[in-house]
Amino acid sequence: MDIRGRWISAKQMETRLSTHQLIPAVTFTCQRCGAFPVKGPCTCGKRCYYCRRCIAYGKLRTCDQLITDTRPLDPVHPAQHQPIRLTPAQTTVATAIEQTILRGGRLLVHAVCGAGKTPMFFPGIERALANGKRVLVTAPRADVVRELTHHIKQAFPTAHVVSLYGGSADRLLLGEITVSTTHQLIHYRSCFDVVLLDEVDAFPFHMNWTLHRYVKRAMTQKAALILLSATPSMWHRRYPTVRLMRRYHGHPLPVPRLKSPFTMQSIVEWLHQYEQQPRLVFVPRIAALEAWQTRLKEVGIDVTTVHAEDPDRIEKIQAFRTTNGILLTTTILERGVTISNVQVAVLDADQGFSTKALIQISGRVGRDAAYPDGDISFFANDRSDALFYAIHQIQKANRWTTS
Amino acid sequence: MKCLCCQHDFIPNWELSNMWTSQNICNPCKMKFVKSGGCVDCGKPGIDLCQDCRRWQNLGLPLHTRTMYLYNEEAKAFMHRYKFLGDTVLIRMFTDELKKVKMRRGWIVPIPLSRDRLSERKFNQAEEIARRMNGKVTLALKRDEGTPQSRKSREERLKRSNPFHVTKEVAGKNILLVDDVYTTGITLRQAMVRLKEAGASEISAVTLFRSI
Repeated sequence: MDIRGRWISAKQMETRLSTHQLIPAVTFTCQRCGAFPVKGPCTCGKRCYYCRRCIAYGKLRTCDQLITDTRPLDPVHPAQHQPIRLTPAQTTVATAIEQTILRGGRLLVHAVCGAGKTPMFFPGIERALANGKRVLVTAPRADVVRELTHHIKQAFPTAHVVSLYGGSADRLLLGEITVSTTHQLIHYRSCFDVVLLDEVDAFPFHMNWTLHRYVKRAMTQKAALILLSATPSMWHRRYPTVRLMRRYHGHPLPVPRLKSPFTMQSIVEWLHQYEQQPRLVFVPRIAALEAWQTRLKEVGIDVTTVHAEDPDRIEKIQAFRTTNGILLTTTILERGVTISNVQVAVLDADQGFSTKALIQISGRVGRDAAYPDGDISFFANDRSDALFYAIHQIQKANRWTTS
Repeated sequence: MKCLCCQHDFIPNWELSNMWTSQNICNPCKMKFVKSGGCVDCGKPGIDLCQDCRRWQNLGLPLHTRTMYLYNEEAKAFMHRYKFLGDTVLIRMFTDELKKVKMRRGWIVPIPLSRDRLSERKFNQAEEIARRMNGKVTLALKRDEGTPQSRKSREERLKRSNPFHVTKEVAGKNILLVDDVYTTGITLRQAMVRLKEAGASEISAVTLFRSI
């Protein structure tokens, strides 16, 4: 098995070559994930500690070792991408990405939901491959990774594209273009010369320093790092930024309507108003899903619920795309999904939704060029900063022009 | 504090009544485990003496086993993390309940692993359970090689021969056998047979889970 650039548990490799290097797996900290280990019983006879944080990837104890191959990696072959059409605003961003890749610097791409971020990377990736640089496209969520792999494989049919997420068939492989979740990068060190980090403010990447460390470790010394987000935080904005506040089809973002105060009656009216279209309703907590489902049933409206730990969430979302039903959900669906002609309502919008969440939720409407104006309503009984700030930011984005 | 099981932060409910208990798991995680009850000899829920225990009594091998929880889905998930992934600190969740088990003066004997299994897993889960109880843990049994019980069906388990051997002087001692999951009871019965042959006095057993 080829383990150049990767560190795995020595128990998984039977043979030992002279180019292999071994290090103890757990010393004062776990050498794979950096967590503090705990003591555990072991037959090795000495005080043996093991790491709890990365136990899902295989238990590492003080008596275990990590192994890697020190040979250099294979060179990367150039590849062409399929022809794409970019708007002038998108072209500016694509050029900025290319420049950063060649310079080896840092960049933040602040692009609204639905701006068409994926085609903007392709010229940059083509340039990187032409210059012999290995590319990593990474995102915190596995569904984003799966979608991106699909687009990249279509755009670069000749390149070796590897897709890594929990349970993927490409586990521990390294390709010319690697598309991975941030968790899978735990095994990789100094492999990638270009890193494109999408949805940089999503859960679980946001606030998790261990995942940040994996990304930093997977980059080479002179690598280029490009962050992409619709809602970057103050900390991300310290990077050189390039903005794109218009969707690919040129229509402005639908501005959320604030319905305050609200009653059950107003929700029912809203649902009836858009009876012919799929409706997506967000609630703050998983516990609230059941409560709202019963309350809506009392007034005679049937809804399906879906949440992050739901085992059939993929089927439910598929079914929702094709019917005109109502789907009650939590913030799991705030990113990534594209459903044509969807109308979105947020119940209890003042409780438990951050500005980022509200902006991402508003980004679910009007993504399709055929239906660019969807309705997005915030039902709230009280005020919160997040509510007003989200509406303000969307209005500000609509005032933006390419200059 | 961080819950040992789900790693989320929780606030422990310290009161005068539970001042001496260890609060290391959050309430939702505590609710996941269902106490066993019913059969006097093995804790299978439903009847006073279950079919398995009735059969053992007819065969002349009655063994009073105290099982603590039922082996529901949550318990299976716990076992997967504890035994197969190897997250050994999880057994601390049950320290309180294990310390409550009363026994007559004697030895606590955990069901051993075969040499292959021990070198593979590097720890004996039954021994770790036994060490959390009040009493002297003695490794008085040795086990021959064979496939792990968990991978066998009920019929396959009942057919195998007795793999245990006694390695210490047990004559006249009271023995408390400790194992992790009670499915058919055959492991404990086989160990009991060997110990009785070696002259042990009273034998009873404790397991953490009872299969339903």
